[in-house]
Amino acid sequence: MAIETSSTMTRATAAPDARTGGGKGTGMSDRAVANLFLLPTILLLVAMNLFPLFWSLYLSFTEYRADGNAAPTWIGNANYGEMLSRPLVWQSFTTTAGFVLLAVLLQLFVGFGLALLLNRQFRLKGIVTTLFLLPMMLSSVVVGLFWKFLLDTNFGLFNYLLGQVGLMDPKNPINWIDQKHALWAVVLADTWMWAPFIMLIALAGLQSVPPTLYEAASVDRASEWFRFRYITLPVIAPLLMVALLFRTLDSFKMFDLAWIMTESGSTVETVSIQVYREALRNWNTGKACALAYIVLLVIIGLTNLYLLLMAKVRGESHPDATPLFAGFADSGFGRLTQRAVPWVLGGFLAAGAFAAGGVSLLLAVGLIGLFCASLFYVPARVRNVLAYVGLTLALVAYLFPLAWIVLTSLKPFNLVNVLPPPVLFTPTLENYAELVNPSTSSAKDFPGQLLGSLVVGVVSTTLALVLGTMAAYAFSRFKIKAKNDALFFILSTRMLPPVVVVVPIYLMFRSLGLLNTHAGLILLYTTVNVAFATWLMKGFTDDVPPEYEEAALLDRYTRLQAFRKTTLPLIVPGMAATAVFCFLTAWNEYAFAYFLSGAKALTAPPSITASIGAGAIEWNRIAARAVVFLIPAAVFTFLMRKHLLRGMTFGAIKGR
Amino acid sequence: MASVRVRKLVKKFDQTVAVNQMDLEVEDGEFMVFLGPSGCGKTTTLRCIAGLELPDGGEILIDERPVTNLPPADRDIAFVFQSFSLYPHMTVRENLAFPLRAVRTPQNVIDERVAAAARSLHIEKLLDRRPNKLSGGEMQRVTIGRAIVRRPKVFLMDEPLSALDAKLRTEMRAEIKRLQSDLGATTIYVTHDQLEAMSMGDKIAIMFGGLLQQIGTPTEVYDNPRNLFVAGFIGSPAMNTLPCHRAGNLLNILPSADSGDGKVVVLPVAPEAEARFGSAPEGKDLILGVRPEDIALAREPKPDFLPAEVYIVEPLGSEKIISLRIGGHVVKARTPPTFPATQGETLFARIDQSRAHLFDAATEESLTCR
Repeated sequence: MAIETSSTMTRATAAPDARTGGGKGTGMSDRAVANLFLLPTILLLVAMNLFPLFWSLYLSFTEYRADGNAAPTWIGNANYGEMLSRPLVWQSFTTTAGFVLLAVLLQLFVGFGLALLLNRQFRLKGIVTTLFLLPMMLSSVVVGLFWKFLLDTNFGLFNYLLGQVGLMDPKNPINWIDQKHALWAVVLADTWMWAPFIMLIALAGLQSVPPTLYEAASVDRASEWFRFRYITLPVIAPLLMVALLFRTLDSFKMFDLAWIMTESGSTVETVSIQVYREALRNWNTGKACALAYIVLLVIIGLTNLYLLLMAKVRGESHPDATPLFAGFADSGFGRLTQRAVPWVLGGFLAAGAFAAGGVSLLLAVGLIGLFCASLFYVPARVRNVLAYVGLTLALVAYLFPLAWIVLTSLKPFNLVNVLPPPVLFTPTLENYAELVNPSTSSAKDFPGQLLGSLVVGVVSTTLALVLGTMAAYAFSRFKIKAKNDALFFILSTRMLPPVVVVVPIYLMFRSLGLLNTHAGLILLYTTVNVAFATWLMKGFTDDVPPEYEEAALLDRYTRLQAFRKTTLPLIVPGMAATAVFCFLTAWNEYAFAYFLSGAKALTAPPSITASIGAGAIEWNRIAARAVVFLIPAAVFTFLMRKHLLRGMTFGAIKGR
Repeated sequence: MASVRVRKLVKKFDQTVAVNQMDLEVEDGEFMVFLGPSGCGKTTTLRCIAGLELPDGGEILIDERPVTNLPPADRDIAFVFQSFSLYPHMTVRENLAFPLRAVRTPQNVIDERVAAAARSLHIEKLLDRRPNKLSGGEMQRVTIGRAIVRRPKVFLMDEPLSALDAKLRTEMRAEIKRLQSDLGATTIYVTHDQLEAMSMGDKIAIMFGGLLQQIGTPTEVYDNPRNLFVAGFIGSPAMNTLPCHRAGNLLNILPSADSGDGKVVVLPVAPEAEARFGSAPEGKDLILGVRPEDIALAREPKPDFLPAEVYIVEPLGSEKIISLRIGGHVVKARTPPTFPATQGETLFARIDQSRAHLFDAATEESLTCR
């Protein structure tokens, strides 16, 4: 009805316009505007994502070495057969699975726990919450380096503290990067970095539970535990599923932390590292492509598993995408599967935890769980006091690595490895002065690389923002064929692990002469960010009522003018938030920057790690670089704290 | 079932006093309605009785037992929220069972009570749906069902019908009243809709500014409003108010300042009203209150009838509301739908003084309330 009226009215106003002719003109048709706005984004994504995917699909069936001159020769599925029968590959899948299970489980516990602690009214709540969120906005390079330093066998603070409290024999320190412990070290760093993500989403969920539900339950004589179990948990379950999905996919493509923390992934060889080695070190291009495709299939499977689970818990906040097996889910067998999935997953989790930490870990988790559950039966006042104590401890523990790196950056080299750490020392700015006035050759490059990061970040952000805003506008305002499929395609390109497309992109860049150029990185980051910008901007555009534009159309503005004069000014704040997220993605990005640059890095992240060589590591210098590098992220995190939730979930969860 | 007593209840939010020295008694089995505009303290009072807010002063007794500082769970009450507040992830059946499950009621008792509640509310077919598949009226039924499975001492309802559309509201009004009398349950019902209050309540407590203005049966508060606020709040169209002075046996209706010819309209006090109006002080600013149905209209001049110009005619189907100008004031009169009137013509109006009221303009208190 409403649509009918508006279209007839548009026609009515268009008629006099056509008669007046020369003056203004009627502008482009809506279809033309939609095409104009959508096409660049779609073309970019097809060229930079779809085409490489098909190319690598082809290559995966061929014998091909990218460093040789021979053309690819078709060998059928031999590559797949070989990769699947190679023990190293299976081992890397096991490692990855173990990492995903442990990291995601820990993040869920820690993040959800933090959210429960933060879910109360107190002064400075906004600041405290933002402080917890800081780690996930930092570059994985910086995080990996911090933790590598903290977990250093002989000079690490972590081992020192363990020795002090008697959990470790100081004569026989734990080597955190050996075969036995490296996985835990990476899990620890990843949890520190990403538990806040779960916290952010869980907190949004907790705050979205209408208070009257709790009031109704308290009138209905429900105990505290009963309320938590039957109201809080079910209501936030869909949101937690979203969070788990994001975290699982992200952990599955783990490259950076494992690579940086464990001497190029020697002891935590994830699938991503395996693909990278096969592709760009061993140059078995065909085999690498086959492995990448196996990874891709696993990821698609995982995604659909989650979508299936989400359909089961039936939240309203899942992304606008239906699982591939939606029809299957409603069949009898589908329902059975859905019921079985949590148990099977739970079994896997328990088995994984058992394999990783044995009975003691299971016991510890059980005890902590019991302790948390018992908290529901203490009086509210006691619980509040406990919560504040817990919150303070958590905050200190959380901020400690950050404080440590800042302190280290202020120390002269001779104090860096002194344990116990000197409480009082004269801070020196010489490490920072070194950045401005470099003495070594690797340090000489750093200012240039920082500038490179800035240029690449700003340019790619601008491009992605313009393209994304236009595409988002088209998706938001016009009827587009297969709109949901297109949106899902755009989202899924963002979910692609870098290693899946790295081979074809490397080859593309090589033939276009884009390898080791700023332009190449800009093109790549624009592609990565445009998907994100489209999703986020679609949310912001949807928030602007279309009536403003319709009014402008009735006032005889053309569609483009109406967009520029009514909608655009209203989505500028959204664009600012999106720009910050895009910029930080580009600024922090490590894997591609490392893959696609030559001996000398173009941007800062690869160069920060590159300075770790043999001999005594100058942690004070590295710390100074890291601090300079993380400042923009920290500043933007505080500026953008209201939009973090939306940004981190592609606009799927809007928050307040 | 039980009585509810509220003594000298005070509740402050920061510096705002939401409820000020409230005294109330609700008898066993009574349907009490709290009526007032938003911000009058009615919901706060109700939430204090429920234990959802802790009062800053005063005392609350349910069934003669002091409950002032007890948590809601220990008061044996049921609360129906304005926003329905059904648990979104549970089916209707699970929602109805929730209050029973919370106290570990045996499953056969739960089934029995849920079935009984569903039967009496006609929601048996909805039992396996979730709240987001229900209409507003259905959700409201489930909310009420969740309250009655409890078999509590007191039902507390906070504007339960305000989220429904007008037609459904009328339907549910009758149904809740019926249910209440069937169960014989002590009920406190909060609303800002005077029609709801009049049609449902055994008694109405009218509140304004955190103070109890008047409490009584619907007829009492309608026929004998204690002050101008009650007089104006109850009844639709509202009671007409005319500023006047009394001089002996005459009421001089002062002309409206902005319109009319500026002449005083003189209304002789009728013999049947002498006893009621005689006590009103002479020379003081008074307000004459007349309900629209207490104005008789005639097309021809008659003794005691004042000439009045027709300002607006609103035919409502079952009746006709005619706005007249008397001394520049707009006065609404309720007439049968067949009464002929056209805008601009002059009619003749007689005020039924036996049912009219006089208020002190300064204190707004009624001078004629018995």
